[in-house]
Amino acid sequence: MTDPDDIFGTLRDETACTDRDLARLRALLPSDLSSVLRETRSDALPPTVAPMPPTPAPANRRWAWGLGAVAIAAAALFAVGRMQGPKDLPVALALSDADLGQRLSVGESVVLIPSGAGTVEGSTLSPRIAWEQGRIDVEVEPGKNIDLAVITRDAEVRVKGTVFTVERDALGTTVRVSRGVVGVRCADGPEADVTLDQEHLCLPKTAGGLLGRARALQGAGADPSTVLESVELGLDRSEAGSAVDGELQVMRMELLAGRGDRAEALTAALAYLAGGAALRQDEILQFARDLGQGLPGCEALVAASEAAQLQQEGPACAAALAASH
Amino acid sequence: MEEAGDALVRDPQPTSPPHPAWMAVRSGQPKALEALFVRWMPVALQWCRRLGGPRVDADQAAQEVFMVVLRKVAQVESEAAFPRWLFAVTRRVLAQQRRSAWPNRWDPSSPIESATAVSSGVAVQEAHERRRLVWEALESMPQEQREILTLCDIEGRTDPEAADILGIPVGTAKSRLRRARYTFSNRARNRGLAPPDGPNAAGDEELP
Repeated sequence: MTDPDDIFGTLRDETACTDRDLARLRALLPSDLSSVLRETRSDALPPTVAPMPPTPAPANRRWAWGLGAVAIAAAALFAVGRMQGPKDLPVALALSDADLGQRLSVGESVVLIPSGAGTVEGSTLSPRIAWEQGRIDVEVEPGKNIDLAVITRDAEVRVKGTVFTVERDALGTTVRVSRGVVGVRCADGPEADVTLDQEHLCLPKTAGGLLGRARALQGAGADPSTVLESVELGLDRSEAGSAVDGELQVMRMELLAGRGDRAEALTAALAYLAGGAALRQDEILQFARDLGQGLPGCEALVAASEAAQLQQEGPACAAALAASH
Repeated sequence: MEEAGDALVRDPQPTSPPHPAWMAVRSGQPKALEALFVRWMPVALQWCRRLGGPRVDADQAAQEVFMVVLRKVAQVESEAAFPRWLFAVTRRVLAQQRRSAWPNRWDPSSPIESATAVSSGVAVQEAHERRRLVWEALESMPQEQREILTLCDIEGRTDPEAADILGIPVGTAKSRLRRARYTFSNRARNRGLAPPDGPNAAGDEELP
């Protein structure tokens, strides 16, 4: 009969939280956790609507976020002839820091040099590398019918006999090609071929990942419209009523207010309150009142003390805000 | 929609003043919140992985849990009450996420990848199959039995500790655990797994 520890031991180990798991999840939250509790502020709004700032040059994506970067370079290595076709054997490897810098062979035609964490499954002719974080160098012998794929949470990259880099951080997965063609399929989009000197960015696929991306962009001083894009994509994917959805909604209304779109910010605040979310309700009520401060047509909203009153007076104030711009 | 973590969780001994460290958490002091994260996020993530099921993204669920924690931890009057409250929040978030994953339940192309235990060396295929069957046996169990089995037999908690987290009497926890072990043994045996010895063994007893 079986030892209970044997039957649950593996399950316990594989579901345990590692330091990397903790670091990965920590990166999705603000650097100062207490900022999650701060009040949504509208008192820093400009007194009049400023014109939209010019769009800056695309931000440099090479931000280091402490998660490390995943870099994969596939290169031709060997020119050894074989008399017989290679065997296709099953593969199962767990890669960690213990393998740092070591050259690990997968079959006869693939060599991995990991500096991070991930797993390798599939077979020696069709290895599938599920890469979590860090860097891995991959060397694939050409002409051996190797169908190798690297999979992150955001993207799937297939080797087609070329040299390319895959970089994964809080902003998503970026694929850059320096030779040949690489097929990239984003977790949320169609497959694309990326050719010489092109790059392709796969965004995080989940609402939580997109919230993390928006916070990372904001922390790095990215253009607010870029941050807003990430927030709105996250809202498309979030579960209505979830805490992540609530955070995205609040971030959206703050961004709108920050760029002077008070009417839209107020509409967003009213929609949040109408959704019945209990989280941050008092704070958003005050935010909505602040948006209407000092504006003709918003007196009733500013004086409202309950969400129901706010809902009643809100549309008139939103119309007044829109007309004042 | 019900909000996870709505109920005010009271100290079992309401006359004792809150510990200063816990007051720091409730007041949102950065270092206290950071320490809370480091101490309890691993627990929340492990609960999400062990109780979420194949269609739930455990990372996403754990992030959701901690968002609720950060927003509502002020409602928890003492550190002693926190594990029970955290479990209730986790349970609620997982239920919400399972409901939203429901439309994908028959779509073979959209399963969330389960955590993989990969071992190198001999009998890789057998180890994979065994692991899959253990998960399948666990996931087929009633949720409350799966919870107590996870807390006690996977996480090694005592009956009183598990009872406190689940918010049930110790006697109820003991009887529920006994039934859970029995259920698991039978389901494991039905899948060709050798059931565990000792308290997990169902033997030849009839189902209660």
